[in-house]
Amino acid sequence: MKYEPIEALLKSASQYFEVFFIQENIKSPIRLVDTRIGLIGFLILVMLSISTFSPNKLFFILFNLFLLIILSKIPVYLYIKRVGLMPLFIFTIMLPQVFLSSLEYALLFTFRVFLAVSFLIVFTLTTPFKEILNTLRFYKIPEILVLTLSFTYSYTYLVFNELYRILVARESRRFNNKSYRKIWNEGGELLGMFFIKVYERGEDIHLARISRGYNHMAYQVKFEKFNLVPNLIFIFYIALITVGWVII
Amino acid sequence: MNIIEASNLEYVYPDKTLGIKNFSLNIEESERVVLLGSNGCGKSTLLKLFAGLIKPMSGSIKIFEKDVIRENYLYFRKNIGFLFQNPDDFLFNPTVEDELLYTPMQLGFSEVEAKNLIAENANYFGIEKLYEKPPFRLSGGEKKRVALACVLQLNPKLLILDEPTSNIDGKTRNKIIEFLKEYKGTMILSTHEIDFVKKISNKVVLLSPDKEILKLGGIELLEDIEYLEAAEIL
Repeated sequence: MKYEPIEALLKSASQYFEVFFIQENIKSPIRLVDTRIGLIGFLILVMLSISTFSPNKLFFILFNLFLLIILSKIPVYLYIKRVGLMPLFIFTIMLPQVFLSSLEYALLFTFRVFLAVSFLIVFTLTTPFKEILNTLRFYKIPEILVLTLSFTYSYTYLVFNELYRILVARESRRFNNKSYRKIWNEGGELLGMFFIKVYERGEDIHLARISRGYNHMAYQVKFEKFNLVPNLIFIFYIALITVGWVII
Repeated sequence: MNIIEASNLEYVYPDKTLGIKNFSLNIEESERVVLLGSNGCGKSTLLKLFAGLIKPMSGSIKIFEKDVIRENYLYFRKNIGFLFQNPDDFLFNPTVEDELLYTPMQLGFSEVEAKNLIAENANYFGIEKLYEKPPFRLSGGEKKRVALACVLQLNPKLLILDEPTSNIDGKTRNKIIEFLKEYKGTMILSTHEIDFVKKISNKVVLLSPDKEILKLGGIELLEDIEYLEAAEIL
């Protein structure tokens, strides 16, 4: 039917993003590293990824990304699932650059962003979200930004779950093949309905937060016990990559 | 002591839908009150008013003989446990353990104190094995048990439950009934289920589809077919 490709894409996308930020509770050795050090380490890796157009350096970083994934014991399928079609998406955005600059530039740019996002995915997969928030507070990131991030995390599921429900409900009550004009109109209604429903559920969740003691401040937890050896190994590993990146 | 003193309450939603009108009720300590009525008769709105989560457009309400003002919010949050109808709205943290820790940590308990506090309820509701799971991955019954355990963290003096037995299996339902029978504080809940009301309450508020009180009385009210039909429960 006419509407199927678009709605199937929307349904898959909503299912994908529904769990995009959700922790999978991987028992990774990276969790032995203090989150404050982990965050800095991963940010260095991101900086190394986006600070060069040299293919050699980028392939060196790619090698280390895969090494890190293996050492972190992240299931490869999970990493691939999270990365998804992201490189294709970035390349699509970069497409005009193929004509304005060159194909090589567009490809290298995509490669750089892919590496940077991959490191962030590895970091979020191996670190509990509340520890990430705690670390941001430790580094004196303004509370409003940390709270916004915290809300984004908990509302992402809600938003995409609601979209998925609407799409499934529509599908269950549709019988005939309509014109493209009708489908377009219905798409607009769907979008309106989606925003209203998400807004209403958001209100309910906010009331639930208040009923449970929310007072415009998020609580803080203590950091895990500091283990010297894993932290030293991690720092040494990041230093090695940085030195390697400079030499190549 | 009056736990709730409500007088001529009226609430209208922002889209002008009437939530409740002309509602007066006193609830005393240790009473177990059930709001009974058809869908959309204003039960959930009333419960939110009783919890101090929303304010009436007109009329007055006192909770624990205190006005619903910002200065009293902390007291209300420590002493009122509110279970929402839809656990998906109620559970918003990354893991079940975070859910359980949320209220005590938010109210200033240390992490160690909070962890000790949650252990007992988690054990009672059989959810200690779910600690690491994201709440949205749980079944309906598990979500309800986690939500109830969250509500009971601080042994609230007033327990407000919005349809606690909806969408759950028999085993979870029995567990909740067993708990509510033992609960010693004041309790207000809404439901459509008459047999459930008979097991746990001693005061019934029948609400009419017009969003007003139809009749107030003891559980013998549940035998009055005429009133139950007027309330569109039967």
